[in-house]
Amino acid sequence: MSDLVGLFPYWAVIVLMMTGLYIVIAQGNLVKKLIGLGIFQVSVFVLYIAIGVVDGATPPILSPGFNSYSNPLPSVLILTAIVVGVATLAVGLALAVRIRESFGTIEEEDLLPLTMPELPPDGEARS
Amino acid sequence: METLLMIGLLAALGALAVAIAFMDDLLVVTMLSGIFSFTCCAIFVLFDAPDVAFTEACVGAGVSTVLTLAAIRLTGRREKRVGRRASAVGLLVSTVCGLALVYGTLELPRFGDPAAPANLHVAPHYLNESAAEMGIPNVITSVLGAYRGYDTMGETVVVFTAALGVLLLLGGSQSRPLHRGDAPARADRDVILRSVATLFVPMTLFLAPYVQFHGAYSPGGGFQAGAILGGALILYGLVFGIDRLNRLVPERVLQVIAALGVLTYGGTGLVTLALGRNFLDYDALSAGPTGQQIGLTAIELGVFMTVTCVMTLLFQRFASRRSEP
Amino acid sequence: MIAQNAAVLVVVLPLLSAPLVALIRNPAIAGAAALVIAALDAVLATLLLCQTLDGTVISYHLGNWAPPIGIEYRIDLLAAAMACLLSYAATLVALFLPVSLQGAVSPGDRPRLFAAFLLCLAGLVGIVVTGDIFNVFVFLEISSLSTYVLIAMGAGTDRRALTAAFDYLILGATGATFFVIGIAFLYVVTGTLNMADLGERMATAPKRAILVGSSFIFVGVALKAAMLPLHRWMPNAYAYAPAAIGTFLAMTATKVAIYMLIRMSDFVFDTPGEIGRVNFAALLPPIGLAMLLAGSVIAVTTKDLRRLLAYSSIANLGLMLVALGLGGVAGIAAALVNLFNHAIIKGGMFATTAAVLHRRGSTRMEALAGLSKDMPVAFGLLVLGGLALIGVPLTAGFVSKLVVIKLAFDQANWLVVGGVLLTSLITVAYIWRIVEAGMLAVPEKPRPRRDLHPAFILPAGLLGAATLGLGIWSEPMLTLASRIAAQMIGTAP
Repeated sequence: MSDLVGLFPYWAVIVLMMTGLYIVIAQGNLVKKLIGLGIFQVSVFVLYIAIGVVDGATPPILSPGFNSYSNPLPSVLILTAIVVGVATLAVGLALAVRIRESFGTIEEEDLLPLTMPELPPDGEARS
Repeated sequence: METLLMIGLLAALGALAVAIAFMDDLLVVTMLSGIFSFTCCAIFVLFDAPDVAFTEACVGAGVSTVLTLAAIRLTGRREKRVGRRASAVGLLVSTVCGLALVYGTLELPRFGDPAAPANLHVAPHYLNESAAEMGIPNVITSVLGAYRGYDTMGETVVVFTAALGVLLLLGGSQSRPLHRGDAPARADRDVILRSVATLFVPMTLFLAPYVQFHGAYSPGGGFQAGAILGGALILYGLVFGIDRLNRLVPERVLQVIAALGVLTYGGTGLVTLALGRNFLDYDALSAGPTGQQIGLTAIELGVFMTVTCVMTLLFQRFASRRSEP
Repeated sequence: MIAQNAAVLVVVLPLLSAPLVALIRNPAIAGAAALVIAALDAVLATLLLCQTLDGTVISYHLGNWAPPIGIEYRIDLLAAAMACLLSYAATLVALFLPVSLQGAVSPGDRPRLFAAFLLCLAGLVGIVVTGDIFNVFVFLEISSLSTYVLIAMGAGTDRRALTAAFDYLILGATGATFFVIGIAFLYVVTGTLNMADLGERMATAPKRAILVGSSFIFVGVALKAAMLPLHRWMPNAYAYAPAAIGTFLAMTATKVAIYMLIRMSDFVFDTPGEIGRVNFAALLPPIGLAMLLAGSVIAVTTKDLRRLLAYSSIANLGLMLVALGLGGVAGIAAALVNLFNHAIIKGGMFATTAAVLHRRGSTRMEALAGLSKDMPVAFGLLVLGGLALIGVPLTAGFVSKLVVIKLAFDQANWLVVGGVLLTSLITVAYIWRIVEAGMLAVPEKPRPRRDLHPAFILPAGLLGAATLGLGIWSEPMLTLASRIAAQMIGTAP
């Protein structure tokens, strides 16, 4: 039983991660995919931070009167990952905007017939 | 009490994630994902990671949401619903991955276990030695800027790469400037918004340097300060019109400062090399903690420059684009 | 000073010059700057190779923090050889990059594209020289983000470049997130991010967490390596990216993923688990064989030269995985011979294809008509590369296939022997299609004889010469590969 309590946070986070992954795979709208990717990534951040928690400790900012601190390393790694996430989102959104302007849609099923390899090249430079 | 709070927040996150999966109005979905990020911030605070909460609030909940909204203006708000059903592949893949992960957790140290290997091997060095080696209380700042400072340089470059990418995709020959009068600053409406912004923008101008320079003592640092100042500029653009923002901080200026930020960071490393030490060995700058602090100040400044300018630049590129040809 | 800091300069040079190149306004100057930087980087990488050739392992402590406290650059012979491959490829591609962008990317955008190209190079080199697993992720992201953008730049000639880039972004970001999840599991049970340290501490760590962690890392890397069934992004990316960028990616991107497999095979992927020995190497031969056959068969049916080459690359990646899966020093050595030789052969063919595209404006099969008449040199180089892909003696491709077949023969693995021989036959079929399209098909109207643009002559010619040279004089490559492999196995914890 104590196992269940001790592992519950991890399991809850795993459910969140997999919801994000599901959105990425299942949704056809490109912007929605990016939002799903965001959910997936943020949930992984929660997983990392959960790893660094120490019972009864305080944040790793040293101050007299405290001697137990949570692990600083996961926080540092996640600061990096947050920034990577927004960078990927920005590039993805820019691509989605350009796709919308070129193809008139950002729905995967509508894009499929427009991007068949058999079609002749249709560059923006020409149009 | 904390356990109950944690369970409540995790449950809220679950509900939000499911709602996001099923809603088809992208505007709503974007706002929900912003709330999702904010709820995560609360969890980060609860889990003793205020620095992460701070950054996620600025970058994840703030800038990401604004960028997505700006993009939706260009790509359309409604998601196509026709013929959409639960995806078998999606369900299968996420279930299998989820079960695999649960299996992997079975032997993990329990949540909050102080004797977990993760908390014993490398982490104690940071907690015990940082005070003597860096002379600053915020261990996150010393790991971020010094012990793993090279990762942080890579991260700054990632931010710069994003700006470069968005400029290549939406700028230069690909830009579609707004027509005059396309995005009028609506002086007649949004009175409350404008008053709030008039109050907030100057306040954030003071907050950003505080967060920047106090990062050694409390949560904060170059990333957070940069995101705050960038956020203030974005708010200015949102309320008073993108034209005024573009005039205030022209794209070229932002691009130059963003590049200079990366060079400030990397340049610090090159200076230490030139002084005969390893790359980013701040001891070269001065002996003991003083050298470390000089190094930290220099690289945090570089991060601040790049992050501020890139966040503003990203918003500018999306917001000043014409929506239909 | 340069020599002792080459380990870090090889990454930092392109990384920090990229922001400067992005600010240059004149595209010609920016292009020249990118070439000079790539060439200097190649010099640094060569310096590293010379330093590590005798078996020395360079350990460079960034910020002078000893690992595992700080980040370590750890350069053995494999890392140095990979850094050479990457920087040489960048130099050769930088030679014709500006020319191949004519008409595809507007001059004002080119300096930024060159900057993205340098960032991509820096990211890839950063992956191969680092000894820290989270640092791998950071540099993976630098290279991935710039790759997405570079691929999308093909939109000037074909708008499908945009969807190709977006697909790759979604897959790449998902793969990277899997990689990060994997790192989390390894970190939580070992407490370290340094790969050497990780390898040592893994022995006593809980098996389930290690198994799941390494599986997620494996999936993340498999996506980057275009491993079946996660290969879908690759043909589109190679076919719609600007031709020069496609050449660079073909020579480097998937090769770095294979490198990651080899690097981590020491410790991450050879994990004794509680449900028997979970050996990722055992997965590789079946996946590899499937890729070998599927890639070759699809290549026969394609209607575009670049797409054909891309599917052929999937087949060749399959061959590398098969070799790796056969295991041991010989297996790693065979995989490496294939890796380097294939980068050279395919690089030459893609560079030549870029030259054809520059003249013809298309790489579709029907656009190749009359190639042997008006671009005989280009046609010759394509045929040479094709012969190497088939595995005709006196070409580098023959050596590649021979080492794998010999190894499989020794292990009496007839499935692999048969599979490799069968693919050679299928390869004949798709190479014949190039010959047919270029020599036998009658062009609508005869074109004036205009061969390769001068910018392509050196890179395509050098790679072609190397294809022949390494076939005739195969000893150096074989020695290098087996020395690397011996060092890998020898230093494994």
